[in-house]
Amino acid sequence: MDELFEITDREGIYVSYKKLEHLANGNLLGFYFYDSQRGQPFIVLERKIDRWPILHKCVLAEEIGHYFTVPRSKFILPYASYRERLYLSIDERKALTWAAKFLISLRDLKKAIHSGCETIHDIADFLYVTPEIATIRLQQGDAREYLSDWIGTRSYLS
Amino acid sequence: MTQSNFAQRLKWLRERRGWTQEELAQVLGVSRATIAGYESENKGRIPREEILIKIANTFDCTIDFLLGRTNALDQFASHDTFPLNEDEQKLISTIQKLSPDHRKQVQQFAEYLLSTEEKGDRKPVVDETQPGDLNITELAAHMENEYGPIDPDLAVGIRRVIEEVLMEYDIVKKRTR
Repeated sequence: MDELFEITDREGIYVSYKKLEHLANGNLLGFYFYDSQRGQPFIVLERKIDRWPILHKCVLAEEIGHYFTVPRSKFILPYASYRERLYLSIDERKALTWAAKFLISLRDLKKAIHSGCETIHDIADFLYVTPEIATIRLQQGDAREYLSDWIGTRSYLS
Repeated sequence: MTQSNFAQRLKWLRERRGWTQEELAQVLGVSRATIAGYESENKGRIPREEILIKIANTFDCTIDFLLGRTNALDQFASHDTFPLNEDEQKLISTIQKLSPDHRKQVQQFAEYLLSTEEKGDRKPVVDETQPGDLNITELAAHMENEYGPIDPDLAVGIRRVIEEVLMEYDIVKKRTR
């Protein structure tokens, strides 16, 4: 969490906590936008989100992911995080990919798997992230490579 | 067949899925630069057989197709001659069962949807953007583009939050000066 705020400080991203629960039936947890007039990136998070530390961390990481992956937008438009998403746009996927890689190192992932995590939810619980972030992380090249080796070794042993 | 044919076909297949080079690279377990190399007509690289098979499996096509053996080059210009994916086949077979009247309605609706997508892609130029002028319909169109149908109140609500945050930011900045 501190590392994330270090990034927002370093990059000069203004983070604000606002009431969002009345929007989108409470499914909107945060969004990122860039104001070209002020030359300023913003992240807005639901004001009560700190009650759920894992969600807080993952939503913030995803919004920072937008900052790094969306080309400096020439306009103000939000890139949002929803609690329950069925569809991911390419931009959302890019941001989530960034967030997943930032929040879960390959070392963490190995630790989780060696500790006996067998499902996405096990891994998410072990690493204090949302299942969505864990899923995205497992789809990344280095994780897939490691997993296929790991599964290979195990079936060889048994 | 020329190698550039493979480059064009790979790019076409990838874009058809809406994937970036990075995403395809992840699926194939290679680097993004490698994909860029495959897609570069100048470099004209052809992957080794193991990767070729992976590509064919990923896109459900034959290696003959990838290498341009099953489609003449002139047919390539028209996407219509390309095999349909599962979703497209399903869509077409559904439409074929409809009465001519209903088919026409589907056509009109699809054209309407396409026009809204095109509108959503149009972005205002930087100098013309004023925070106060943030256009609700454009905001809504963008959101809809990103997430599918949205509640119109959502765009209004988000705009209010943005204005509030901008005001707060201006005050904080004044104070710290």
